[in-house]
Amino acid sequence: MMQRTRRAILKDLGIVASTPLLGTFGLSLFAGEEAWAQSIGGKPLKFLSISFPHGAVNGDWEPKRLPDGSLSLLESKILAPLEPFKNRLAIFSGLGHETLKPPGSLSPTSTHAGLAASFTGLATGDSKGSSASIDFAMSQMLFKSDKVLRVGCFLSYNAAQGLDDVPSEICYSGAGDSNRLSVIAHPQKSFDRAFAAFTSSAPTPEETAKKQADENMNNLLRKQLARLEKRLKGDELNVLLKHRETIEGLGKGVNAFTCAAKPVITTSGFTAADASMAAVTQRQADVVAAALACGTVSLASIEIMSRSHGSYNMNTVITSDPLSQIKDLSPLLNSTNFHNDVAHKLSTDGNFNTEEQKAFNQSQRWYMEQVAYILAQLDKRGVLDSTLVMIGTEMGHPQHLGDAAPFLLAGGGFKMGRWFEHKAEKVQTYQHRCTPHNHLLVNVAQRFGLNVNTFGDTRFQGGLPADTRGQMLEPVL
Amino acid sequence: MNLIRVILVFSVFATGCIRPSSENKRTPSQTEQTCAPALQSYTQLIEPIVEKRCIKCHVLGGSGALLAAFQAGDAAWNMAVFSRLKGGNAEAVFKKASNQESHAGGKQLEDSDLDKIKTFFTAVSQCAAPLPGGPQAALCNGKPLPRRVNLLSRLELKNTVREIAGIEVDVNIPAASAVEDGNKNPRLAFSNDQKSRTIDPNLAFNLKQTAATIAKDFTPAKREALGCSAEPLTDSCLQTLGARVYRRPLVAEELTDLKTLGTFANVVTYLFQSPDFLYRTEMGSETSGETMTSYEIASALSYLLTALPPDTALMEAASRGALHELAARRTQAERLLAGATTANEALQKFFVEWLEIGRSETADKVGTYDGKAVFAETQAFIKKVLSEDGSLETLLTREEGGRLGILQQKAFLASHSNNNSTAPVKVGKTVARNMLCLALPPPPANVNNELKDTPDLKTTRAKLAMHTANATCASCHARIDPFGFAFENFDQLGMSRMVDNGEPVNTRVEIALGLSIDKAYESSDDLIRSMSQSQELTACFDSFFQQYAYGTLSCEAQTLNPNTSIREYILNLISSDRFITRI
Repeated sequence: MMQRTRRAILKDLGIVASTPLLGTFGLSLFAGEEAWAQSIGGKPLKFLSISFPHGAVNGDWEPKRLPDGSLSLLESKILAPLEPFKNRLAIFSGLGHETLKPPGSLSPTSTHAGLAASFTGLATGDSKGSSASIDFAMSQMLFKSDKVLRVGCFLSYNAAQGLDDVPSEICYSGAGDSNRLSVIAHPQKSFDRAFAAFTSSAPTPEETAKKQADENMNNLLRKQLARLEKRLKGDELNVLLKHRETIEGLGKGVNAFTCAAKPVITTSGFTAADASMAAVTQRQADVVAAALACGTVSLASIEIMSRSHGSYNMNTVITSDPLSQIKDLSPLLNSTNFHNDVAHKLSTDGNFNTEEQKAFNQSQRWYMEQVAYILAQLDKRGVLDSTLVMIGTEMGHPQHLGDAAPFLLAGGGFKMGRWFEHKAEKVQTYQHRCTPHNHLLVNVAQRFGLNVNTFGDTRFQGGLPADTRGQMLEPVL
Repeated sequence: MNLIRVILVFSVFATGCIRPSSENKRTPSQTEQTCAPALQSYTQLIEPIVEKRCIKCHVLGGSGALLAAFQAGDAAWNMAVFSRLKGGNAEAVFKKASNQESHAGGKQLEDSDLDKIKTFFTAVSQCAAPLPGGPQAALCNGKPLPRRVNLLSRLELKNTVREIAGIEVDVNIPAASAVEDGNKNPRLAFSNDQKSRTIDPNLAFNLKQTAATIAKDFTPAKREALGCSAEPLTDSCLQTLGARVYRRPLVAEELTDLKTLGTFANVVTYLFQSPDFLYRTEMGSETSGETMTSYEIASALSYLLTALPPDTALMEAASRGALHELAARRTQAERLLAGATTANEALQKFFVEWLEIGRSETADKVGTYDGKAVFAETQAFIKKVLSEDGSLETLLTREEGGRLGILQQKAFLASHSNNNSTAPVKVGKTVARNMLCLALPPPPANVNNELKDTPDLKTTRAKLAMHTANATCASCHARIDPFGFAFENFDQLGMSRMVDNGEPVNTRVEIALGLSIDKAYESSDDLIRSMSQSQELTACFDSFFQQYAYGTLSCEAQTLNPNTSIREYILNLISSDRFITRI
């Protein structure tokens, strides 16, 4: 059978250059496509998306920049659990779902659509990602279907009882109304899926050869640049010196890892109750981390809870988590309808420090404890630096405002340890003209080799511009 | 004063003795031959007045508004600014500065100064072209460019990969940002401007990935044509492939290095991220001195005229060293310009970027609007002008579909309007800055661009009247808004209209900026026809085309009249010594 070029495949997907990620396509089309994700430290770079619901209150969640330029997350009311990973995080403030706003408008077309837009960059409603989500686009282009694992931590679907796959809240194929993808709800099933045919993940001869070839090429590049530098001076010489410096920066590697034997992971110990929310989440995280480390999975997504907290009792969720460090819980967390009783009661007129805000921040802080747990598992298994982790939520202010939504990257693939403060012009207390988060999706897609210049919404071209401090997101190998 | 003398002396000296020789020496331009008296009278008679009196107010940040401000100690600049005052009318300049006509600075000239000014302007009138220096031509000082490397533009890289590998790639090599500092020449955002050529980590990474994509998707037909179908790769394959990518033959050491990479995929991945591919060098060689090598000239010609790598004929001419000869260079340029589609794409891109009309293609508009069709229509218009050997006058005044020239094309009007209303400031700014090279400072940092809805002020023009009511705004908007108001009979889609928000549109404007086109106009038709004949337009076009051609803010004034064909202008440019000289 004639092999199709990447160009042809991209064209089929409708994602060449400046076209949106749309398409009705199936995994089978790419069954013969070898994984060619960009390597990092001689290993393929992997991707993990993590979503948590309901945004964060602008002004409460951001880190603090210390006088020496370093970051502290400890004073953030939400990000504090991520302090141990601050040098392996890229934190983005000032991004927003500008895609939901018609030209010239400050109001989104749908206040709920951010849920679908956070990873798609385009949405028509809270259940309709009208283009493919970033993980799906990459799974189609870069990874074999058996290297993809999507797990959910949805108590409302009762993992212990049903074990059935459930519709994702954030992963979309972009193929019309029925474009939700499935996620696996039970950790045991996730494990079975990931390790069914596992033997060993020692480097292949091809991977070793590729790493050697990369080193040869970099040496020749340095040699050619040095030859040209001899005939230049002043600013003209500086152009090439900067180029050489860039190549050196790209060459930073990470520790290699292997996974010689099938890992042993506990996939039980939870019941169908709010009290098991932490256990479900952490067992799913164990499976995902092991699967990424052992190379049985190259792309994964973890959805922590379903949209907008549903009807969970967050007090039970938090107090039942033996790892949680959250103290002095607000009585408002002891609600059976957190979404309406707390989140929607937050002020949008700048009335800070209400009890609702305290309760909400504690809820969001618990999600960050789960993110920290996931990152720790990746790190423990030596795969954090070779995994690009994208962490997002569907809104900024929990009154469904798409402005100033928190986004984070973690792990490898880009230079981390930075807080990017993007332009977000304040219009009202919690309303801004933000930098479209689509640019970040472009950065991530391009980092994995997708030849795209837009993601979701074609109005927003290219990766993120420099932030208000002149910082650019910088890829590393 | 001394600076002017130095310029004069150096100019004569350099054109006769110092310039590296090409086969056909350039003769001193008409300007250089005829402007010596003007330069002399300026240094002796005018510069003392400027430095002592005018500059007190007419300086950047000063209270006096002029097209461009004087600069202390910069005689060349000041001479050009002065030469353009009141359209070169000595009496009018004197009348103003002596306070016979209201002058905010009071009386600054004595009666005896009138003769000095007359002497200077009489001498200026003998020049064949505007004096070198000043708002649009200060950069056209003929200063040679340094040895350098030019990063391929997005279009050039895309085209080059297609030619060699047969596949489409698109690397987002950024265009330079437009720069306005209120006095020096504005720098437009040309996609090939070398100000943006730094390869930062993002770009390096994208280039590396693109190289891997090229290696993976290289078409079998192209591979076969290079003699590289089989592995191990032969020396012939590596030499042929390397020469295509580097646009010059490989040296022996480079061939040895390529052999160490082994596979075709590795060789291609390396070559397409190597500096000799990414940069078009202009460095000359140990033997060529200050002249670019013949292969470098071939690339310079080819990318400027076609945005493509040099073809077989050019490479063959380069291999004979023929491109140092003016006649051979011109012959090759004529051949490339005659190649219909490719040449047009490259040159069209200049016009699109010069007039900033590309945004019409993706603009969101209230109303029925097909951006792709609108943009395509204007591209076709430019193509016609070029293919008919048109001039700047043709570009501005060729009638098509009831529209006069490129400025009445929907793409121009839609590019410089809001999504639901016209934007005379945007139109005016583009005309003033990009076409007439008027010095415009950047808008104040705290400026509020929102036009208030006022029941009494219905039309956009009426709402913008605050620009002239407020003295701070007026100092700049007097140079901008009239050029936009003239086009108010077109809406935000570029469609003709008679009313704006229920009120009749008013297109009458008066230009009173000390330009050769100063007078009242009833509509954009009159203004366009007047502009099409102006020396300000030709000088401004010259400086911006050279920014595009050289990828930097540097030029040497070329002789150009409104009715000179654009093709002939370009051929003259590539015939100059400066085109091939790097020191």
